[in-house]
Amino acid sequence: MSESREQFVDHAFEEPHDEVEQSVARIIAEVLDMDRVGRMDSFYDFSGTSLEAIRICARVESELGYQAQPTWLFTSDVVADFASKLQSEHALAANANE
Amino acid sequence: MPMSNSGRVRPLIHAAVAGHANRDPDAIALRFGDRLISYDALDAAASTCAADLSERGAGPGCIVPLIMGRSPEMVALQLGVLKTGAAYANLDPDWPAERQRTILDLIAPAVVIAASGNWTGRFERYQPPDGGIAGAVRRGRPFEPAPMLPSAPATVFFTSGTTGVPKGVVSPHQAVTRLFGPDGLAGFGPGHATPLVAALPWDMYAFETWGQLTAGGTVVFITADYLLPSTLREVVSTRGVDTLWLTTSLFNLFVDEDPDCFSGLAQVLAGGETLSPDHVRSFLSRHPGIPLWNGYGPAESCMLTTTRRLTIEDCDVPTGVPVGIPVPGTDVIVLDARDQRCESGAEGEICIAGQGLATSYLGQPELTKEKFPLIELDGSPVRVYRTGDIGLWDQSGVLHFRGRRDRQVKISGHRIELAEIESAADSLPGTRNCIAFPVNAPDGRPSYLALVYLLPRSDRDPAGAEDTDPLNVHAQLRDLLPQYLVPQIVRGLAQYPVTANGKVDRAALHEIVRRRRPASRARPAARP
Repeated sequence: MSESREQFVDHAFEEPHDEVEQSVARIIAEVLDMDRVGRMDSFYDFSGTSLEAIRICARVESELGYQAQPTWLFTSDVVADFASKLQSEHALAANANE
Repeated sequence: MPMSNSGRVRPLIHAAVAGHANRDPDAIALRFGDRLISYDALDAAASTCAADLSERGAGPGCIVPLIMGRSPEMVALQLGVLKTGAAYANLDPDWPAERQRTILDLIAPAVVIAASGNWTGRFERYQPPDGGIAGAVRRGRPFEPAPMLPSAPATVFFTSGTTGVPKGVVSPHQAVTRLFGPDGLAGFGPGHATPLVAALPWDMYAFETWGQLTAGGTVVFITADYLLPSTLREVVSTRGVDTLWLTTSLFNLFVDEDPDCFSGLAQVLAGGETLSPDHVRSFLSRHPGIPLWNGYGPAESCMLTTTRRLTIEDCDVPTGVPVGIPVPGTDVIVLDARDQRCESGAEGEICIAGQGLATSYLGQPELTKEKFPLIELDGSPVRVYRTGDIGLWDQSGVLHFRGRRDRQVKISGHRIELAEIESAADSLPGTRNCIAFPVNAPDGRPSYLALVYLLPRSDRDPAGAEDTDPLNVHAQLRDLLPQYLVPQIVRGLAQYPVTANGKVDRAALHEIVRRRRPASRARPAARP
């Protein structure tokens, strides 16, 4: 049974805005074994380890098709920021390949 | 059991590399993105570095620290250090300044190689000139390597120590080179390539570099900070990678998340922690044609002590997959409490003899004598390393690992002495009776670290509210310890739960910490 998010964070749960945020939040919740993760929650709120970051990125890559680096998760640790980072890196890579 | 390959002289690391440069100068030694560095260029650059460093005092008996990120230039510098007769020590540039200072003071080097930034340290610093390997080749300074024996120190690996001081394991050339070559491990040499993934201060960094470079193969740098399944796929399909070492936790993750990422590899070695039979079984079923090897061994006997080519049947052994048989130049003895060899089937302490043994712990002669005693074996004195691991030989002469005696755990391949964390935490003003422990994931494996401490008894205690605040304790620990030792959870408790025997109830502590909100809300530094 997953942990309850409210055991770990004070601020209110905010629903992810779009598909990417939803998928990222879901993947992070699954890997960290939380019932849910909000768009303003941070990876560090749940004491995420580097191995969990690697697992999150591996799933993001295989499920979303976006390249994902653990270092991006460490610096853009809030779900909404990480989702945004994934998309901007994806756009950069697409431009570079043109 | 006779010493394997004891009569054979193992080469010096830099001499092995130079030998390949002579035989096949254009063979690729290093790949860094699209950059290809030949053996000839690497060896020539190393000679220039050696000349530079020798002028600054590097030579036999010295240790030269390197503080820089991984790069082809780093390899050339390490070889340069070795040519002067000195040993090199990789310090992690992400370590807290205080830890770096402690290690530098311990080494007291004639010169430190530090690539970038301002230097405020006590010791003289050598900053590699711009121009990288190509520039060093152009400068073309010849250098005749100092004469030295294969038993001379080559490198210092760093692992967790039980006091505040990190353990520096000083390793000789022969310890590194004994594993590779014509009768060494499969998958190293011309036509083979290994990705460089391991952390800089570890012995497996040496495995991933010198393994290929002393045998004539290629080292492939990973340009990202972490290896993902997608990165592995890329380097296998575009960079010729065919031999892979993964720590157990990463191996399990890859098997879970993307088991096909291993396709195209010719051998996989995994270890560092107990292998998970389910994950091994899963890999073998998916990739029956790829040899999977269990690699066991402490840094004190350099990288690997035993290997086992794993089979599906190994996954059904109730006490865990076997760790196998000794690697070249290495002997394993299981000793009972009276230092006598155990019969097969009997548990005892795993002890190691042979060319893999470290010469010493840096600056710790007493600990060295204690952990590397001379014992009498079959009538002769033999120097061994006492691993603190419990094991046994089975009827087929295969070694099995049965656990540890003391308070050392492994998380994500990191060897963690809980006492080192407690020592650091106890040194802080606001804490007392610190207890560090691993928090287990649902499957029972240690997942992350927690630290609890007792809050002050009364108002008379001089420690102020600030000192006892878990956020502050956490922040101070970040200044004292490398990231992998910093507990993710820090809590101050008024008292510890106790069992009926009056001992601290560790299971209860574990539950308190696991279920409740972590007290530390500070965001750790980016790179764990």
